[in-house]
Amino acid sequence: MVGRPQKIRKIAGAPLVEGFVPKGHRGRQCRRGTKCRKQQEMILLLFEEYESIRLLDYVGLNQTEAAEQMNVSRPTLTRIYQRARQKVAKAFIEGCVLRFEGGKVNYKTEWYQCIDCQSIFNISDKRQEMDEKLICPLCSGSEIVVYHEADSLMADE
Amino acid sequence: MKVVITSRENNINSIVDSRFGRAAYFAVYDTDTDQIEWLGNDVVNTQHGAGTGAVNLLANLGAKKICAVAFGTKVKPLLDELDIQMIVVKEDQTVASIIELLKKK
Repeated sequence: MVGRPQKIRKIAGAPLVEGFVPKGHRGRQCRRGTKCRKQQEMILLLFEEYESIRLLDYVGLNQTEAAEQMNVSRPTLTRIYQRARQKVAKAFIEGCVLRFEGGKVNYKTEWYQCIDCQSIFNISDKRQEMDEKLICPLCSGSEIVVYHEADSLMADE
Repeated sequence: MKVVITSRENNINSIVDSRFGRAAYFAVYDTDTDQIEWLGNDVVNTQHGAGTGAVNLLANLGAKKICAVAFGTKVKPLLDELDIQMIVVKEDQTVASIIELLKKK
């Protein structure tokens, strides 16, 4: 039975690097006396798995918060995270190449609206988003609110 | 800093074009020099990829902000990557009124 189609998971952005390659095989040989083939096996980490590690281990959110950010239920987030950790552990222990690959994701869009001129804008410089005081890029107004319904901003070409 | 405003005609009193990729003209306003450069949109007639084509056109000019009434789904990641800010403006404004807002501090 196929079941309900997967919800699209939201992530903040793609990983910085394409993946990781282990360094320096320590020369432990398989029983057959040949170099262990397992180090050639490539592990694919989905973007959503990468994002779960980023939110939980790097940013420090709890699972409820991370699930909300990624637009999935908490049990789903737990499953994603467990898969992610298992893959990373395997790459670590067995010396496999780790590569990031796309899953079903959609890039999260943070939009803001200026009360004065009613324009809606994004923050292009990620560092700015951390700033307490946002100002309107058009009229320099200082009354800014978070804009919801971001999906309606995107016209269909 | 260069700000791009989509426009239906190539004069300052024109209304902002409601499309981005297929906007008729782009007004490139330089906030430092207070000059406007008018660009006809070359990609307006392409079947696919008008939005992304327009982005490349504008990025090559060094645009830092783009004002339009709507942006297609495919241009958002591209503009993010190029560090160009998107501003969705209210419809039926003129290019002149947008520039007036930009001049405010």
